[in-house]
Amino acid sequence: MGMDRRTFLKLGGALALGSLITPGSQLLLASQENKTGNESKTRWAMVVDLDKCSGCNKECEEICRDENNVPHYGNERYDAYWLRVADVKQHLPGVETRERHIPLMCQHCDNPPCVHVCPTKASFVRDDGITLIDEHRCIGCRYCVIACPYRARSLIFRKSDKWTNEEVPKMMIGVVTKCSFCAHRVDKGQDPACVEKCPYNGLIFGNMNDPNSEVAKIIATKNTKILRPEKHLGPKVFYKGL
Amino acid sequence: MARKYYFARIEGKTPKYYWTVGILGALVLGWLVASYIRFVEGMYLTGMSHSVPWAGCKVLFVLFVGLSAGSFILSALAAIFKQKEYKVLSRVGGYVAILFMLGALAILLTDEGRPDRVLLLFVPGNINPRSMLSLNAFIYTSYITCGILYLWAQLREKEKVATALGIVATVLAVGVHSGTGFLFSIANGREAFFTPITPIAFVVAALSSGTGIAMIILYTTFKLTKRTIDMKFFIQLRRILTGLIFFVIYLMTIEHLTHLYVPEHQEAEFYIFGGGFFTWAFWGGLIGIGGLIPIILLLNPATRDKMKWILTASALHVFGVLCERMIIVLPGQFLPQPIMPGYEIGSAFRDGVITNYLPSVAEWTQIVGVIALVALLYILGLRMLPLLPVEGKYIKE
Amino acid sequence: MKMRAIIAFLAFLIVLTLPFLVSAGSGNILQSVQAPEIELPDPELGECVEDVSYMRANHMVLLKEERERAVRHGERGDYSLSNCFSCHTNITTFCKRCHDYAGVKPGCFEIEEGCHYAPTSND
Ligand code: SF4
Ligand code: SF4
Repeated sequence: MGMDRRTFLKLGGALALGSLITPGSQLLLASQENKTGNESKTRWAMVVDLDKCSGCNKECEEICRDENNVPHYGNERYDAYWLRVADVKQHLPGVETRERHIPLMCQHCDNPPCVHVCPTKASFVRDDGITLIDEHRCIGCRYCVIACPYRARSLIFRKSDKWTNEEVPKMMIGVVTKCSFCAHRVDKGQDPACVEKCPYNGLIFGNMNDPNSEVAKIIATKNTKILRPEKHLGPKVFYKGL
Repeated sequence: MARKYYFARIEGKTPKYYWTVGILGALVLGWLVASYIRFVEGMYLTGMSHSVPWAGCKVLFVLFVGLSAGSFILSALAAIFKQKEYKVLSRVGGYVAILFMLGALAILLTDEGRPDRVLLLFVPGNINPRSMLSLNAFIYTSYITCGILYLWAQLREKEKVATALGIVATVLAVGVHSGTGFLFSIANGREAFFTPITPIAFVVAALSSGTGIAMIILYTTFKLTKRTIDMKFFIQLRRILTGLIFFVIYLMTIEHLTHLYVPEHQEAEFYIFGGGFFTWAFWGGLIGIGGLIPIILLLNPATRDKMKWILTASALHVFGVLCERMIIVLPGQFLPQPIMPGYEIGSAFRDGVITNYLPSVAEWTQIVGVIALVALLYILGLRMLPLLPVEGKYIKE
Repeated sequence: MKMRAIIAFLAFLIVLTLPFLVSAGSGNILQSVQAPEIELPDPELGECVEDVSYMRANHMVLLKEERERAVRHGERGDYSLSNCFSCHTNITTFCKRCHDYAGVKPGCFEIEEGCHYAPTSND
C-alpha cells in the first residue's frame, strides 16, 4: 500500500544489508541527536490560564477536532483526542472542594520519551521545539503511546471520513496522532486554533526564547507550573493558577 | 567405539498426520484473514484502547520470544559444552527455537497498525538507536539468521561451525530476551513497568519455560512417532528446571518487594495485589500453579522420576510463565497515569479511570492462529528435515 | 517424481509472472499503446516550477523531498501539492491519465485512498 516497486526494492536491499550489519555504529551516534537546541531562536510554548478556563462546553475540544480533522466516533474506547479538558478536584482539609477544568494536550517535551522510543523516527522534534509525528512513516507500533507520561497520544483506530478542514490532510488509519500545536498554522505565522478561538482567551501561545513575548513574560513571573515535573521532561505547556 | 545418534525424517503419511495439517492450516488461514480484516478495517476490532495499546498479542509475543530463547540455549548446550546427551535436542531444539521466533515476529507484525510499512524499520535513515524496538528489530533478525545457519550446520553435521554459531546465537538469544525485557523496563511513562530487573527476569523465565516446552515437545513427538526415550536425559533436564523455577520466583519476589517499599510504586503494587484478576494471576498462576506445584512435583521422590509428573510440572510452569508475562504487560497499562497527583481527575478521554481490556474475537483468532502456525511448521519440518533421532538412546556402532 | 518437478516449476513460473498476466488479461497492455493525452493548464498562468521534461520525470522526487521538508522542518515551499493544484485544477484529466497508463497509483490523494485534498472534475 502506497509503496511503489522502486521503494520496495530499495527497502528490500536495506533490509538485507541491515540485518547483516547490526548497527552498532549507529549506537555510537545515538548520543545527542534528538535533543532540541535551547540555543535555537524559536521555541514555541503555550501558557494555559486556568483562572480563565471555565470549562465552558469544552469548546476547544470541538475546535481542535474541526481544525485538524480529528475523528470522533462516539465510542469512548477508541475516540481520538488531541486536546481534552479534564475536570479535576483537589480534596484538602479545611478548604472547600472546587471543580476545576484543565485542558490537557501534548506538552511538547524538550526531552520527549515518545521520540526516544520511536523505532522509525516517525516521531521527532522540530528545530523550533514542536514534537511532531510523520504519519507517512509511523508503523503504528504504539510504543510511543506506552511511553508518553501525559497520555497525549491516540491511535487512529478506525477509518475516518471527517474532513472539516481541507487544508490539513485527512487522518490516516492505523497510525498514531497527537496535538501538533497546529504546526500548519504556526508555519504561516498564526496561533494554534484553540488559542485563537478560546472564548475566554485562556490560552496564550508564543516564543519562549523571545523575552518580549507574552508567554516569556508570564513564565518569568514564576506563577506557572508544569505537569509531572518529577519526570524531567521539560514540557512546554505551562499552567497558570494551578 | 563411537556412539552417536542417527537422525531421520518422519514418514508422515498417516491420515492422522494429514488431518492435523489440515486443521492447523485452517487456523493459520484464520489468522491471515483476521489480520487482514483488522488491518483494512482498523484496530477498533481489537479490544485495545488508548490506555491499553499493547495487549493480548503482545503477551503471546513475549511468551514466544521466551520459549524461543530458552529452547535455543538448551539445544546449543550440546554443541558448546559437548554434552553428548543433549545431542537429542540439538536439531529439534534449534528448529523449534527458530519457529517460536518466527511466530513471535508474525504476531508482532500483524499486531502493528501498519504492517505494510514494517520495512521502514530497516531504512538506514530511520534507525533510531535510542529506541529499544529499533535495535530489537536488528537483534531479532540476526538471531533468526544465526539460528537458521546453526540448524543448517547441525543438519550437515559440521560440528565446528555449529559450535561457533551456537555460541554467537546463544549470546544473541540472551540479547533478544534482555532486549524484549528492556522494551518494558524503560517505559518511563508507566509506573508499573519501570524496573531494571525485568530484563533479567525475562531471561530466566525464558530459560525455565524454554526447558519446559522443550521437554513437552520432545516427549510428545517421541511418543507419537513411537520412538524410545532415554529417561536419564529428562532427569537431568528436570534438575535444571527445578533450579530455574526457584530463580524465577526469587526474582519476582525481589521485584515486587522493591516496588512495595517505594511509595511512588505502591499504587501499582496495591492494584496488582489488591484483589482481582492479577492477584489471582500472580498468587494462583505464577506462584501456585507455575511455581510451588511444579517444585513439589519435581522434588517429591514419589513423583519426580515419573515422566508423567515431570511433564505435568513443565506444562504447569509454562502456564505460570504465561501468567508472569501477563502481569508484566497488562497491569502497568490498566492503571491510570498520575498526570496530576493529588487531584481527582476525569475526562472524556478516560483520564484517571482504571481501564479494562478483554481480547476480541479478532485477537483470539490471531493468537490461536499463530500458535497453530508454529505447530504446523513444526510437523511439516519433521517430515521434510531429518530432525528426530531414530532412537532416543545412543546407538552403538 | 519428474512430473511433479515440472508441475512445480510451471506453478512457480505462473506465480512469478502473475502481475504481467493479470494486466494482460485486463487488456491494459493492449489498450494503451499510445501515450495518453493530458489536459495542460492555461498557459497564461505562467511557467511550471521546473521545466516540463524535468517535471515529467521527477515530480515525485520533488514532491517527496518537499514532504520531508514540510513535515520534518516546517519549510513549506513551492513544490507542495497545494501549489501544484493552483494551476492543475483537475487531477482526473491531468495526473490520473498518465498514472493509469504507467500503472502507478498516486497514493497521496483522497480519491486513491490517500489523505490529501485534490481537485477533481466534480468540483
Ligand atoms: S507530551 Fe507525550 S507526546 Fe507530547 S512530547 Fe511529551 S512525551 Fe511526546
Ligand atoms: S506508533 Fe508510530 S510514532 Fe509511535 S513509536 Fe511507533 S512508529 Fe513511532
